[in-house]
Amino acid sequence: MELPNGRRISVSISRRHDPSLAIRYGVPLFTIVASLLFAGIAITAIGVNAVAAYGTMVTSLLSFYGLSEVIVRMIPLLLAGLAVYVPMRAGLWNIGAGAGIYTGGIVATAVGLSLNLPGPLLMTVMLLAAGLASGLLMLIPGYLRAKWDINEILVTLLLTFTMIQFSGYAILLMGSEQGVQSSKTLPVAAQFPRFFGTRIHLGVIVGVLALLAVYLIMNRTRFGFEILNFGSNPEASQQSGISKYKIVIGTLFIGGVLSGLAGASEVAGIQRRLVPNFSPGFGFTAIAIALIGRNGAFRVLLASLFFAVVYIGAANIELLYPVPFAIVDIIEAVVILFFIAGEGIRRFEIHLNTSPQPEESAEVVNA
Amino acid sequence: MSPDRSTVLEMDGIVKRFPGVVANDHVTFSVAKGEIHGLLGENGAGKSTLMKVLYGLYTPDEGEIWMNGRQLDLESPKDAIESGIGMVHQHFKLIPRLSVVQNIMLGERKTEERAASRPLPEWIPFSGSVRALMSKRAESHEKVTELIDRYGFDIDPEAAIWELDVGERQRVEILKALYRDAELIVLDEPTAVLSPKESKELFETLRRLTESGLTVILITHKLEEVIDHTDRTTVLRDGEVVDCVDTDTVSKAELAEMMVGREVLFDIEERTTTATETAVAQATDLHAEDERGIEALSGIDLTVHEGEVVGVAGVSGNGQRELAECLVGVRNSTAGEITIGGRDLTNDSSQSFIDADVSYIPEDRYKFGCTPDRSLVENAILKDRASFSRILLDHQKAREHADQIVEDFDVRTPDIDTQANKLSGGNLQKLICGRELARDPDFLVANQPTRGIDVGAIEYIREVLLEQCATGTGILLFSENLDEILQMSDRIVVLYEGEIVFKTRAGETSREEIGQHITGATGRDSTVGGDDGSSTRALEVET
Repeated sequence: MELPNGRRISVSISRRHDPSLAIRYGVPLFTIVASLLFAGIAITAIGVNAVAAYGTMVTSLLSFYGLSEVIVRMIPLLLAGLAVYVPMRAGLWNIGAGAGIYTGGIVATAVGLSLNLPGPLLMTVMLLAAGLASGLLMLIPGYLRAKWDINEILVTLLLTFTMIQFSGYAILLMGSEQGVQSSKTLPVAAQFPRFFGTRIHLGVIVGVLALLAVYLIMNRTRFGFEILNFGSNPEASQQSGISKYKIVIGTLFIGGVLSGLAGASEVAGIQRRLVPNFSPGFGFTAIAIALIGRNGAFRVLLASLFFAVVYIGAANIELLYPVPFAIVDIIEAVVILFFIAGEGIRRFEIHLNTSPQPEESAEVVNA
Repeated sequence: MSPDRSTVLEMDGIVKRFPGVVANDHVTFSVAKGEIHGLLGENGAGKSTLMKVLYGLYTPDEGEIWMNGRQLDLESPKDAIESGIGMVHQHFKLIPRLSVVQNIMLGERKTEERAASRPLPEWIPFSGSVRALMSKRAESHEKVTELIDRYGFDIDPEAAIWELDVGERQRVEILKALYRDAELIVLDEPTAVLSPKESKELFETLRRLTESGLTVILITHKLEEVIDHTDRTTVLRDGEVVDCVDTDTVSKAELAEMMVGREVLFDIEERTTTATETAVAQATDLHAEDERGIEALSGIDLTVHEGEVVGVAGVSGNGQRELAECLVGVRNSTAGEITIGGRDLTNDSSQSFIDADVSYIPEDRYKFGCTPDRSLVENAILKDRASFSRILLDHQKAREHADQIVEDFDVRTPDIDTQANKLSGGNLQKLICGRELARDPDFLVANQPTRGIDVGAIEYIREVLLEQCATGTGILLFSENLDEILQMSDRIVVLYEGEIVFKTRAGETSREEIGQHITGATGRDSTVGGDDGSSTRALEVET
């Protein structure tokens, strides 16, 4: 970059070795403050007192209802986040958690509407069928990647759109209620029970069990060992006899099962029928969650908590103030952007050098 | 060295500490203008740290760096480059998808000035930046081509890096430093992947550079290179300077002793062969292709017996990697057969080869040998993970196994939870050897097991391999180091352009004879251009 006086500014970026205390604690704080400020501009711009709105957001979040809604929101985010996390540890990008969510939702609805079983058994069958169906769906990108090296990002992403469209067709197939663009309501036996008079439903147990299962698989089993080492170095792992098919197809299958459970829980616990677009981008938020939590299953839990808080907080503002729903998206997006920027600052040092002579160099540093 | 030469670089009292270790302990290092200065030391002696300080990658805790009487404050490699310091790293820093010229252009300084000094004609459309870019590109291409010609590097400047083999990539790195007009060039193990002929040319080049006033720092483990090609040598041990000597006043043995602090046995004692008649591995008319789909192996017939070391001599890029990978099940052959322990395992999975007690020490420790960001424990059980797990991993047993390897194979590490990529090359190689040998294999493929590691570790690994062989393991040893091949092998084959062009027994041949065969100086001349494999095989010595 050239300044008017002919001097030049060059930017160099290098890895930060020992982040100072100020960086470690200052950056997250800065992330929160900066995103609140930035989103505040948007809120103020539409004529709402941002300070009052934020006050409402905090008090509503701290209320019993607010907290319960955060947990409700965490269920699909955690499951979908884990669905991206498992393949990510093997070096694969599962952009198709959304595909699994819709598959799971469709299959759970179909099973719930067609089988006449006692409640606990029916719910178990719904979850198993939903998980299995989206797990099987993920065999497609898994096999294509393992056999032909076809990019799993593209296949899983395209499957997402495919399944979103297919969910509309599935509603038609299953027969919608008159005048409503959704499937028939699930029978009571198929509806997940809710707890404590809130919307927290059976899915919370599914989520906790899935979290524990993923943690155990990754840290205690041979398969998890193979996943982690394959993710670290596929060549060395294959040379050590770890099968590419087993890892690639296996992790994507697990990802499919987890996202299928997310879809089934959301449908049977919240919607109680199959509605089009029942997943407001859970599958994509899941990518951010998995990225932030990529170092461990319990970090995925924390990341999904973080995104649930942001979403519910923003949604409360939308609920209580005359602002458009888009403000929720804005707040969410701003927080993600600042979070990623903060991560960058935490991990890398950025130097601005002004040089007296007009010369410039770009050095690739692989340190 | 005449004492009146001016000092170009002075590193004074450099201290660099890492948690738990002092990598450089008041190191004072001075280099005179126009000399080739050797920097010797075992892995972990602090050479790399010192050079990273010089290149601005590390900030020293104490000490000063002076260059041409000016104190340098190096905060990044950019500062080092601007101060006229060039670095040829041991691990390549090239972008695979870009061409040779593009890689060399990256990091170039003063490109625009140079472009401006020779502007393109005005009639060329698009003013300013496009013309500058075009001119820069053309200029770079021209200069790179000129350098390639001048130094006799055999590289297509427009080839993408991924198409090049290890040796060619190294040459691009050297070219890159030459291209940047550095005043002081640091080469980290530059000849590790070059053939003897190329090495010779390289040193001629380096000599030419120093004659034209440049200065070279040579980090190497090859004592011959230090003796033959450096003017002075600084020896480091445990982070401290042992001595700085005029090279022509010391012997190889003296240097080695300074470096490791004890006498090094250079010649392994005369071996009594332990070979039997039982074949552990056999390749018949083996053909295979490289990544580009070009035939890399053209009909290899090879047998390794129990308790025997078969040395494969040759310059890298002549099919070594493909042959090694075929024999451990990592690469599929296009024709031919492989039998291990009498069973046909042609194109079977790598797991089948592992189950048949085949071990493998790959050529590139970091790329193929380890999972770099996993712990030593995980790396130690990577291959034999089934012994430590049915479904659940037995962490306790795995840790005991890792402890055992670290102890038995003298792996120097803070603890076994350290990430593999934090180990120095020699220690990582010992860990890999430990992993592969602790399983007591029947057949071991060792591809360049001692490349790029320090003398102490080289000696150690050779001994360990020979001990293993004495217990009945058949070893196929690939090496570019002829002395290593000659000292360790029972039988020797020479691989040239995907064919075995020469077979002999140790003790019936000489360095010179094999040296001629590996460069293709014999055997292939009559059939160059043809694909008549039978005539070359007719030259083989019956063994």
